Amino acid sequence: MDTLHRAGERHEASEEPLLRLDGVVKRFPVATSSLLRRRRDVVHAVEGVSLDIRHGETLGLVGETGCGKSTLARCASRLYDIDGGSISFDRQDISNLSARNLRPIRRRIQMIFQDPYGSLNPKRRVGSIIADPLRIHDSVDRRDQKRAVQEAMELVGLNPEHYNRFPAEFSGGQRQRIGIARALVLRPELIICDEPVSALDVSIQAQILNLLSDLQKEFGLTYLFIAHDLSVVRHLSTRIAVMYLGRIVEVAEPEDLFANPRHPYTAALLSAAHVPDPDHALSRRRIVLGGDPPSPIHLPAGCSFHPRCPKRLDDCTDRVPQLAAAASGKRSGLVACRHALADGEELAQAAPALAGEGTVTP
Amino acid sequence: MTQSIENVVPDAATALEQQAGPGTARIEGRGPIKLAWTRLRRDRGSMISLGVIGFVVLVAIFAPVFAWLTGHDPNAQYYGADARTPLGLPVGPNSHFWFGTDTAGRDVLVRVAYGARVSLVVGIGATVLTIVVGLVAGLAAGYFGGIVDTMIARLIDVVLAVPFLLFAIALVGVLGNIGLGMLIIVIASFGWASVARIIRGQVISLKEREFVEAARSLGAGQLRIMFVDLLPNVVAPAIVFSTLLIPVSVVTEAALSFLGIGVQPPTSDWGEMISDSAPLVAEGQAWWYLLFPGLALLATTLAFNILGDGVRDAFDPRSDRLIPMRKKAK
Amino acid sequence: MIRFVARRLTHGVVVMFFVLFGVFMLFFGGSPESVARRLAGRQATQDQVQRVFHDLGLDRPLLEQFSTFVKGIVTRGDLGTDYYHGVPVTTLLKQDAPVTISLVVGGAVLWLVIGVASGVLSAVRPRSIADRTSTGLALLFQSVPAFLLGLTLINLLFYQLTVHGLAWFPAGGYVPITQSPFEWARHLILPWLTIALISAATYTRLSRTAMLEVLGEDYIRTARAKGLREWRVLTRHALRSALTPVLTQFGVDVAIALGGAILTESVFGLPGLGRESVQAINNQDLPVILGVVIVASAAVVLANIVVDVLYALLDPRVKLH
Repeated sequence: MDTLHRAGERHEASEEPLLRLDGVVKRFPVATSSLLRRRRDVVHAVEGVSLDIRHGETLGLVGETGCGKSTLARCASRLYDIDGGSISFDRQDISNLSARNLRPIRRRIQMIFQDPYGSLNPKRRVGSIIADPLRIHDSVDRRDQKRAVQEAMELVGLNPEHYNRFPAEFSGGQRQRIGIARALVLRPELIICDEPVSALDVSIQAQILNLLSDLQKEFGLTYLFIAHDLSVVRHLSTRIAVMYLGRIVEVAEPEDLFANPRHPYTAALLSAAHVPDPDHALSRRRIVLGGDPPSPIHLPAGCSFHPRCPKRLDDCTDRVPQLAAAASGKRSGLVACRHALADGEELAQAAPALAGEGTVTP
Repeated sequence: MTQSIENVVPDAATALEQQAGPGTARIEGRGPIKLAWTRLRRDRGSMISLGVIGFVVLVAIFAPVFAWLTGHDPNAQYYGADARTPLGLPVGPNSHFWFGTDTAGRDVLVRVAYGARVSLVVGIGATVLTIVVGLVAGLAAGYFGGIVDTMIARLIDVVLAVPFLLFAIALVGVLGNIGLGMLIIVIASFGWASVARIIRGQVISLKEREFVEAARSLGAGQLRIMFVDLLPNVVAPAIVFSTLLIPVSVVTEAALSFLGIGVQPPTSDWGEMISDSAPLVAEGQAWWYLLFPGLALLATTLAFNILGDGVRDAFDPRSDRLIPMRKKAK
Repeated sequence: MIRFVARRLTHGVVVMFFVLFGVFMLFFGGSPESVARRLAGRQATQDQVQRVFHDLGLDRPLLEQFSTFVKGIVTRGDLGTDYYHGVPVTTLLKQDAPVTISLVVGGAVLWLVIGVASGVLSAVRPRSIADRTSTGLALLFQSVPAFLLGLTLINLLFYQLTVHGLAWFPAGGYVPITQSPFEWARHLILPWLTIALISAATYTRLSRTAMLEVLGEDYIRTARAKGLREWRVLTRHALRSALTPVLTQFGVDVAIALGGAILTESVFGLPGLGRESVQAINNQDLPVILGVVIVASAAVVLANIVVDVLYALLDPRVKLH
């Protein structure tokens, strides 16, 4: 109740985002076992990402496997140190805070992980796992801990009597609920969800998504929701960001994104998304991307999508396109392409001569 | 647009529970240790071994009872016809000395009983110390990595390079004869290395698991992650290791005493008795002086080894057991 | 591969360096007078202690002593002087080494053969009488302390047989191989058996488990389906994978074997390095112990390097960087 009130207040107070990522860079060195020279190869996991997450919204972040979204999530929650740029939470710069100074922040930002089997310690009882945040932050004394844990379990739809069971005794969907309970118990403001439903059956996915949605309304939560499946994200998000090879290529509201994708990559992604209506599915044209799958070690020059883009033009290799408001159109999205698709432009008809070429420029 | 699906199709587990009602939650999860114990109880070999070990423990605790029953003190030297031959050599088992006498006319039975004390105290004491040090070192090396890991790993290499008995000999040479406490420390100061190496390997692979990441994202400190999250996952190999270590420590202690650098006479000790009997046995004399302490040592070690096998199997059931477990009645 | 070997050798040298350091601190730590007295031995007179003091330069700073010590070992192979016997330690060790080597190498060959053979046999015919007997015996022998087994063997195979007129085995003593190979072997059989039976036990169980696991693999089934004779399946395909844990265990066992040699030499009166060190303790002859510890550790480190290289050869999955 309290949180709801506070969240409402903050909404009115300012339009400052809850979490601001500004030019975040994260690179990983690669161990090369080359016989000749020890070249310092680097994986460009996150290459200059700027994103705002506003109070109470759900920002969906999609991209293919390896685009860097999980890394971004971990940077945002400060599990990783960033190599460049800055992160601000509630107007406070948390980019370089030490572990000790981060602790009060950690009460307000929580994470939910992808693997329901790996994210819970198999040798600990579920009640103890959920009580972890309470114990770490010493926020509630021992007697009330059990009550808080059971309350959290009820909130997520688990039987509070199962306090003393081990994770192995729960199904995948239930384990994910345990993870959510653990994230909720300190009543955080921001929850970063790293593909929370990717490992679950479709019917269970729906339940968990509904649960997340209900919890958001009840507690005024803000979500950064990461997924690789567009249809999952569409249902829950207030805005969607599309990521490719370490950079954000488009940000838009779900309906706009699906109706009029601006970035060629978004269009390609949408054309591959599942559509339940078989007639519709058969009738649409699939955009097949040519070229080699990209390597995050050697980023292409300029726009990193250009080797596979059906609409590639000569100036695409000049500079990295920045996220900017779409030139044409009535909506408020951002796109990182100098030749963004106009409303109604069909990518499948783009110049075929450029498709299928494309090699990575070292 | 997809509509939100109501909870029409709950997962099977939740459905069953909702039907069954709150009362069924009485079945609580059994921890891995309780689970292993249940499995162990069904293993006949292990239970027998446990019985043997319990017997040895009782003998050790109640050694004075043996002295009282026979009327012989463990260190007292006797001279009667029952105790020594006219030439002063030991006499075999008879009505006064059930296990015979030794080279100094002492009662072998009572000495064997008192010898159990030393073997068990050193065996179990050294094992406990070894496991504790090995666990801490392995956890620290595996979790912290970097320079801490390098230092500890190097130390492990050095410790494992020096043959233990030789080093014990060297230690005694420099420090003089060592008492029981030092003996435990010396044995532990070598054993920890193997334990630490294995635990370190486990921790290194556990470190990458998502629940460790989750703990860090919650703000857990390093010590908390090591002892609350990682430790329960390495407890099983540690317990298995300790069942192997106890018989090894017992035998090591006996070996040290055999060589004359462990427990000093006149304290009763199985290894020392065996050593004392050696010259006579080579001549075919005093077989009892070798047999009884030898049997005691063998039985104790064998029991611990069989139990160790059983414990290992209880934690991690395999299908290729030597002695098949008794199946539960269908 | 060369880089791999080079790296392992470097690692071994580093370990040996720290071993030397640790051993040095143990023996030479403390006040110079007590060190001199300690090294000169119990029987030494005050004059002799003084001589030792000056010989070893015990009044110089510790680090300087250590570097002299290390230099002496590395450049001249000088492990110090045995004041009790009045000869350089290396002389003594050179005398004793062949005995210990004969014992350990012979024992090792025997235990590997017995262990792996019985383990493989058990795995090939699981649950048979042969399997149960060999595994049961393995359990028994694993629990017997070496000295106990040695003495039992002496009593049974030496004393009882001799008394009954079959003096097949001697009670102890050593005959160099150069003198008479037959006598050499005859005197070593009981000691070899003592070492071998105990260690073999570990290998029986190890190779049995490893073999059982490998025989269950699909590629073995394929080999059989191709029509290969069982013998070839076992030796060419199964054995290779089953042997890797055996090799790993062997690396660990070298150190243990050297320790076991001490006990066996004591029981059977073999004049090797082990018995030398036990006598040295009784005579308070520390330089000898120092020398044996260094040599033994070096042997363990070397053996482990060999094992690592063999492992890399045997298992192509081992990364050579």
